[in-house]
Amino acid sequence: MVQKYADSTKPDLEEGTNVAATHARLTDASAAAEREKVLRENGMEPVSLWVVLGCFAVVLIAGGVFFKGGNYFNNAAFVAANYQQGEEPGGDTGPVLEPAFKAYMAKGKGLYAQKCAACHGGDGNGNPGFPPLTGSEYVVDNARVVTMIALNGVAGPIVVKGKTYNSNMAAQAVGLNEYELAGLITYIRNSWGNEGDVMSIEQAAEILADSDSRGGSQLSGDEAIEMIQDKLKAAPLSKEQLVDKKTGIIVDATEG
Amino acid sequence: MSTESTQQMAEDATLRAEIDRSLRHPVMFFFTSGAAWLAVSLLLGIIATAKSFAPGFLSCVDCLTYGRTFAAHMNVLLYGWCAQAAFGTMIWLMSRLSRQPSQSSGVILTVGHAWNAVIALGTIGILSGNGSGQPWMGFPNFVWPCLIVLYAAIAIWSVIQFRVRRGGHVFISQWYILAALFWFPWTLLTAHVFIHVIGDGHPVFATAINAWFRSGLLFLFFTPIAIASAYYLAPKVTGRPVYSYSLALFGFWALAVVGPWAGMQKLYGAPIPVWLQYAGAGATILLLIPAIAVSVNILKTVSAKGETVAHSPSLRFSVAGIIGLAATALFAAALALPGSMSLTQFSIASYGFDIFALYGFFSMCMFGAIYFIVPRITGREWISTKFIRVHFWSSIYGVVFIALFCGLLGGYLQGQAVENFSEPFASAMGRYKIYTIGMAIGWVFVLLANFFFCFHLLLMWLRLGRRSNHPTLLKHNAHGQVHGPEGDLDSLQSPTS
Repeated sequence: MVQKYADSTKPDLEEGTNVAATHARLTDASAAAEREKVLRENGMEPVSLWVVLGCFAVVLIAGGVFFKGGNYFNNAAFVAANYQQGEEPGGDTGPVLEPAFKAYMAKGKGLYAQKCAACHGGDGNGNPGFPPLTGSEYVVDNARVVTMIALNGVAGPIVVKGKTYNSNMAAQAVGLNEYELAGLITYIRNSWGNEGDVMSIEQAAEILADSDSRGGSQLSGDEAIEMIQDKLKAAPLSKEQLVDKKTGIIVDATEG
Repeated sequence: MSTESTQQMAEDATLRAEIDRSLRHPVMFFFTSGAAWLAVSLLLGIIATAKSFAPGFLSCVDCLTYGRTFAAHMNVLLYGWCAQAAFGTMIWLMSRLSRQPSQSSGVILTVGHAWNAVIALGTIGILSGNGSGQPWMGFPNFVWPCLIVLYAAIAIWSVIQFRVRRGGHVFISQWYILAALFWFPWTLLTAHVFIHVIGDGHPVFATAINAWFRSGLLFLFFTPIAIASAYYLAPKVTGRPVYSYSLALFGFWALAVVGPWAGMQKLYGAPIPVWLQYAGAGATILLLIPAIAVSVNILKTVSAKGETVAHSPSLRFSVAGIIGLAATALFAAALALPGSMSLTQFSIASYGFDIFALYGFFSMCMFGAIYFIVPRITGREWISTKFIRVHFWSSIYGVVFIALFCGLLGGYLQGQAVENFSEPFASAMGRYKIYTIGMAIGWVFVLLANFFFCFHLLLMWLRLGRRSNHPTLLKHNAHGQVHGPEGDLDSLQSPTS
C-alpha cells in the first residue's frame, strides 16, 4: 500500500504520500468515511459516587420487592380473601366413582392402622391383654357392638371367644364423621377372614346418635353381650353400589 | 505527523469506505423496508386506537377489527421495523468494528427479502383472523420457524466477521452486538419451544412464558443493539473517549445477569409460583442498574460537546434515545412495584410502556444510527435539515404524549377505576376514553415524523442525496461557516479534472 501512493515527482508535504491524489481519491469515494474521527474507548475517568449510591438504592428496593417480608409460602398474603383456585382445564370430570366395598375398605384401612392396630394388631389377632378382632362375636354378628365399643371404649372384664380380658379401652373413634366411621367398621368386619357387610352412612349416623345419647360412659362386658341382639334399623350398602370415592355418598351413575 | 500515521489514516479511511460499500445494499434494504413497515404499523396503530374510542370507525371492513389491527400493529412494529433496523445496524457495526468488509452481502440481501415476505404473510395472517392471539407473538404459528431460520442466515455472517476480526481488540459495542446475536434466537426459541412443544398448550403457562418473552425481546435484543449503537456513535461523533471503560463493563454484565430474570411480574396474582412473579419484579427494578451505567457513561462522554449533540442528527437522536433508556428503566421499575402491578396490569399502562421502550428508546437510537450510516453507505449526504428536525421533534412530542401522559397517567387512573368494584365497569372504561383520544393524537404526530423520515430515506436510497464532503448538520444558517462554502464535490473537482 505504501508504494501505491508514493510518487517521487510530487513531493508534496511528506515523502511517500501524494496528498492531492490521496485526498481526491478519498473525497470521491467516501467523504463521510474520510472525515470520521478515531474511535476511542479507553476513558478511565473515576465514576461518581452518586452513581454507586444510586445503584445501591436500586438493589435495596429490588431486594425488598423480591423478598417481600418472607411471605413466599404464605398464600393468604398474596391471594385475595376467599379466592379459590379453579380446577385445571379438563381436570374436573365430576366425582370419582368406585364400588362401595372398595371405597369404604380403602377409607378404613388407614384409620385402622392409625387408631386400632397398636393394641389389636395389624392382623386383627390382638395382643396379650388385648382381645382379637378376627372371628370375635362382637365384630362379626352385629355391626352395632364393635362400633359402639370403638366410639365409647370398654371398662371391666369382657369375654371374647371364650377368654376373659380385663383391660380398659378408651374411646378411639371420637370425632370421625359418618363416612370415616363406616369405613373403619367395614374394614374391621371384612378383613383377616371376617365376612360382613358394608356399613352405610345411614347406619353410621344411627349408631352415632345412640352413642351421643349415652353421654360418653364406657361399655361394660355384659352390656356388649346384650347389644349383640340389637340389630340396626338402617340397611347396609350393597358391595357393588357405586359411591363417590371422596365422600362415600351414593352416586347415580346415570346422572354423571 | 509522521508518514506512518498519515499513511495509516489514509488506509483506515479506505478500509472504512470499502466496508461501507460492501454493505450498501443489504443495510439500505433493511433500513428502507423497516421504515416502510414502521409506516404500516403506525397506520394500523392509529386505526386500532381510534377504534377504542370510536368503535364504529371502519367497522364495515371485516379484517380491521380492533383485535386484528392492534395485533398486526404491534407485530409489524416489532418484526417489520424494530428487528430490521436492528439487523441493519448490527451488521454494519459488526463489520466496521471487526474491520472486515462483508463477503456475503448478496446472501443477506436475499434473506432480507425473504424476511419481508414472511412478515407480509404473517401480517395478512393476523388481519385474516389467523393470528396466534399472543401479544408480541401474534403471527400465525408457521411464521416463527421461518423467522428463526432467516435470522440465522442474516446473523451468522456477523458472528463469522467477529471471529476473523482484525486488530484483535474488542470494542464495547461488539460485546453488546455479539450478546444480542445469541440472545435473540435464544429468547425466540425458548419461548416457542416452551409454549408449543413442552408446555402442551397450557394457557397459564403459555401466558407466563409469553410475558418472559416480551421482556426478553426488549431487554435482551433491542436494548443491547440500541446501546451498541450509542456506544459507537457517542465517542465517534464527539471524538472523545468513552467516559469510563469499567462502568461500561459493569453495565454490560449487569444487563447480562439481570435481564433474563425479568418479565413474569406481568402475571402478578396469576396461579404461577409466587416467587416467579417477585423474581420478575425484582429483576425489572434491578434493570435500572445497567440503564444507569449506560446512560451515565454515554451522557458523560458527550456532555462537554453540547453543540455537537445539537448539530449532529445521529448524536441528537442517540442522546435522546439514551435519555429514553433511563426513562424506560424508571418506567419499568415503577410498573414492577407490587403496589402498582395490581393497578396497572390490566390497563393501558403496559401498552404505554411498550411504545415508550420501543419508540422513545430503541427507535430513537436506531434513527441515530441510520442518520450516521446511510450517508456512508450511499456516499451521499442527507438532503434536508428541515426533514430531520421535523422527524426529531414530532417523534419526541408524539412518544412522550403517548407514553407518559396517556400510557402512564391513563393507565394508573384506569387501573384504579377498574379496581373500584362498587362502580360499574362501563364507567371505568369511560374514564379511559379520553386517554385513547390523546393516544390517537400522539400517533398522528409520530406518523407525521415518520412520513418525513421515510420520504427522506427513500430519496437517499435512490441516491438522490447531496454530493458533498460536508455532513448535513442541524445548524441554522450553516452556509459560510467554519468550513467555508458547502463543499459540492462536482464543482470542487471540476478545476482539477
